[in-house]
Amino acid sequence: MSELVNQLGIDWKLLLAQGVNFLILLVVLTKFVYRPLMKMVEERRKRIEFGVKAGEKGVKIINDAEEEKAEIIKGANTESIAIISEAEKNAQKKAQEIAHQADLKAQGTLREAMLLVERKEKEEMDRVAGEARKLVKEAIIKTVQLKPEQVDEKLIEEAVGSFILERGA
Amino acid sequence: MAEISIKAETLFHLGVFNFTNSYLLSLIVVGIFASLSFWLRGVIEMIPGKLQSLFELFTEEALKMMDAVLGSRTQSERYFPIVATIFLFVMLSNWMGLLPGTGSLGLTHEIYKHGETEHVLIPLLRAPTSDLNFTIALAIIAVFSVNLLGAMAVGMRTHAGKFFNFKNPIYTFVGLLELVSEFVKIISFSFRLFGNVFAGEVLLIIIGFLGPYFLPLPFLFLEVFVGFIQAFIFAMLTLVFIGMSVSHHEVEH
Repeated sequence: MSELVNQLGIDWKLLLAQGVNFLILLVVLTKFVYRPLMKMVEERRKRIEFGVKAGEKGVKIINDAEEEKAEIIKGANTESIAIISEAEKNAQKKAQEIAHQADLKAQGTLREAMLLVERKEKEEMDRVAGEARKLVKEAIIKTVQLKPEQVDEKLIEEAVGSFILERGA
Repeated sequence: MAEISIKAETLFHLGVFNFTNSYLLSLIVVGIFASLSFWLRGVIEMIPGKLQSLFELFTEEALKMMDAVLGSRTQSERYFPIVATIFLFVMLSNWMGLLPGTGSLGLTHEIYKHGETEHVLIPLLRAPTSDLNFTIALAIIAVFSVNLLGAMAVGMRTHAGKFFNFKNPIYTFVGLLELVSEFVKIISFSFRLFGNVFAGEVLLIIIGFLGPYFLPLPFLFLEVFVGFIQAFIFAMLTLVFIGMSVSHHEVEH
């Protein structure tokens, strides 16, 4: 047996030394490689999980914001339409009022002008009538100087009346 | 001319300790991993660099494979360090043994044999896995861990009950066989690895001797593959044994 062991080169001291070598390597690798590496992988996994979740949340927030924006725009649209139509209505009302007032004023002015014209006409008429009367009177006087009995007052009045009628028409 | 030796050659004596070339390379492998670890510890970040990505890929794939055997990620993470360390250590040891210079660079010693003086090359480096001291040490640690982790998982009494059962003579006998098989595991673990790697080295020496330059190339590829496969087998068997020993299977009474 010892011959076999000797032939195979088995030496318990070397065997122990090799075993210790392995154990050193086991401890070093476990402490400095396996554990930190696994920890790091686990941490990274957690972080990726967190990142993915955060990303989903962010997308949700963006979607919500988009929806809100669309809603706000829609609300603003209806509001603006309402404002515009209100303003149009007001403007129309105002325009009508202004037109009405202008109409009234114009009518007033027209009436005044007509009154003025009428008065002037009347004055003219009176003047003409007075003149006519004077003329007729003079004519009558002239006629009377000739033959007063022959003058018919009624005839004169008729003549003047037809004259006034003629001017007034 | 290279001498094929089953024993790892002694480089010098350190007191009563024979400092062999395979032990030297084993130390170098540990040094490489240790410095890588120290370096990696400083650069581990949320956004991984190239080395960190590589390690993470390895970790993730190994854990996936372990999940298939153990059935849960928690268990995989608990037993990951021992299985992964065995795999990494054995694989790098195997591959280091294939590097140019390993097994060929060394000092010539004069030895006296049968009254004649012979010049023998003592290589400076030798793959740790082609030295039985390394493989046996690893096998003992693996089998010991399997039993220790089993005892921790199912309880000392239940675990011991697998080997020592006196309720029924048949189970007593089965238990004894189980006990023997634990020691057989050590032998099979260590000699499988040693045999494969040592045979590979011998094969490369012989092929290199027969036809240097291009002929050894396919064999080198083969040995690279064998180095990986043997490391994988060692780690995988450890994993399966751990899986068997930590599972709560029914112990008949």
